[in-house]
Amino acid sequence: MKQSGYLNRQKKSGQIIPELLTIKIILLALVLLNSTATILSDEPVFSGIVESNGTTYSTPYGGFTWNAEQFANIRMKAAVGSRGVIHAAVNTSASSAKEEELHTDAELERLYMSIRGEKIDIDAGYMRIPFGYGQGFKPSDLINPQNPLYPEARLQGALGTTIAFYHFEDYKYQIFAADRKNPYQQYSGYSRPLAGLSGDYHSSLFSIQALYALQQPVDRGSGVPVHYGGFSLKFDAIAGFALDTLYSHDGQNNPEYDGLQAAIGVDYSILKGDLYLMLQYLYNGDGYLDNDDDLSDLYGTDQWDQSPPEERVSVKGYSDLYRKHYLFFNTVYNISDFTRVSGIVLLNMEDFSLLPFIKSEHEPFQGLTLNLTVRIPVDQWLLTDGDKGELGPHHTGYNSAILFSAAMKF
Amino acid sequence: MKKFNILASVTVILLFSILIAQNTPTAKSLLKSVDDNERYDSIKYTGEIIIEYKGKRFVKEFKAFAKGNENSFIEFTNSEDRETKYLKKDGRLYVYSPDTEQVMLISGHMLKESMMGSDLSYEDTIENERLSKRYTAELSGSEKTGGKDCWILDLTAIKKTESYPKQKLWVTKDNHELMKYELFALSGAKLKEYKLIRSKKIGNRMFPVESEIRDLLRKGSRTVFKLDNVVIDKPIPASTFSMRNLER
Repeated sequence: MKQSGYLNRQKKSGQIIPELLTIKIILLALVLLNSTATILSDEPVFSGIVESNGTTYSTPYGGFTWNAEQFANIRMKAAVGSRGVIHAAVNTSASSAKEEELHTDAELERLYMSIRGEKIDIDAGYMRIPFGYGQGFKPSDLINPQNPLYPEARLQGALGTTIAFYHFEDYKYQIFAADRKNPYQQYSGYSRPLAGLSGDYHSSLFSIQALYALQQPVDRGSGVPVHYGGFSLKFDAIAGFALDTLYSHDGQNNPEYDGLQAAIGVDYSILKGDLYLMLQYLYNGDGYLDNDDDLSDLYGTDQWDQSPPEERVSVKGYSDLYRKHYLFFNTVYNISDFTRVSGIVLLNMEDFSLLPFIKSEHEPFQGLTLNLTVRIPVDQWLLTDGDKGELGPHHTGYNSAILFSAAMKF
Repeated sequence: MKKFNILASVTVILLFSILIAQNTPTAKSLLKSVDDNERYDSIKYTGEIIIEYKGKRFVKEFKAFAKGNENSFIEFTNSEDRETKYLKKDGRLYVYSPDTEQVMLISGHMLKESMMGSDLSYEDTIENERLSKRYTAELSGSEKTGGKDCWILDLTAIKKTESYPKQKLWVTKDNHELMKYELFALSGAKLKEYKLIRSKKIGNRMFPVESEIRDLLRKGSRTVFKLDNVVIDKPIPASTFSMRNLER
């Protein structure tokens, strides 16, 4: 059980580069950049976060377990001449878990360069290419998707390039191409080149974005590319409203809404902004399970709950979310400027399992944040001895998890 | 002789009254002077916010650019908040966070929230419209404040939507500097208090370069603003106030 570690969370949605050599090259490159400051218009700026964390779990598969981790996210930004910028970031960690050896790891998080023109910006490398104005769920953020189960995790990069055009005020047009690699997918060994274009417009009343992208076939043998159409809208009318959708079509005769992912949400705050409330609904057409299915249909056996999550084999595919209807509720209360408590609940509306977590953060002095998070998966089996649910203790692999962390920014 | 004395006394009193009246500005002209001194067409500076609250001290450093009442851009440069950026454009406020690497619109309902833990709300920071356009003024007296003789102006909001329906201003008699102001709710409750600590002559004006503001609903809290390298009314490229600059 190693779900709490930052890198382990990242592994769920991206690629780890394990070779020590690669890391040495990255660090060497950072040092060289620093030492060759004469070509840089400004000294490189280093920043980041260093975090110590520990997690204890109560699991249905072996009682209590724990892990501890020392994690760092180190970022560098260097201006080159008047128009160039180099960005780099690495994640490094040392972790230890019950009955496991000390483990060190490192991961390239960002490495890209930017060229700033008069009306055109070009970015190329290993980077984040964000889309959409969604809140908890962001379906249109298709290249570096956020895992709603771990909203605080930094997002994995993608190898790609973007060319953004700013010829008209308030408008942005962008051409992009990226390798949309996703280890969850059925053909995870393949790269998944994707290219497309997007447009943004910001007015005093709303922000709107549309995108279209074409991706190499998921099944290389099919020869039929995947088409994506995305649309996102954020507007403010007393409360904040956000609509974020993505439609994908792979040429197959799938049921009508299978390719649709759509999230609609509303947020509002009261008490001079001290209490923030957000509710969002997600239609997840990609979900492998229909309303009549249960988790045994996903794993092809009724005995799926006899083994921990990492040992299960899905017969339908892997994903963050397996069903089609979800609710996401988030509330944040600022007790003071230094202390806040947030409660997040992810609800599966079909099997009525839910994953609530409560997080408290305190800033004892500038730059240091202490965090305590408690997660308790709940399903019908737990409450009434009914069915085991997707977000329940057996499927998530733990009855409860308590995480404590201390993070310093620099 | 007696008649002459009375006439002379009345004349002196009249002349003195005229003299005083001539030296007493109208509330309207005084408020215009305050606006002329403090409002700008464009400004850029580097700044420091020192927040003291419940025995803790937080220091934030930033670069700021503003143009008129509609556009402003702030980038934080202290290590904990580095690359956090705010853009005010067309009355809307956007923030870029380096942690999420994405721009987020700050919804109208969140504008009353404290900005970066300071005694100022987001709403306070995006307001630069001239007071004389938003309030009617009344001269209510004079008082010595911060060692200087000041006129006291009572302001009443013209629009009901104003965040602070009433304000009280202390304006120096000699050069019409804003020494102090208090912001009130409709109920009359005092919400915030501002004091000038230091001003600097920039061009023809005395511009506040160090000031203190207290949110009285946050007990024991104060925020000090320090401005350096202030450049007023020099051209700033329009691209500074763009989403593009925020995303960079």
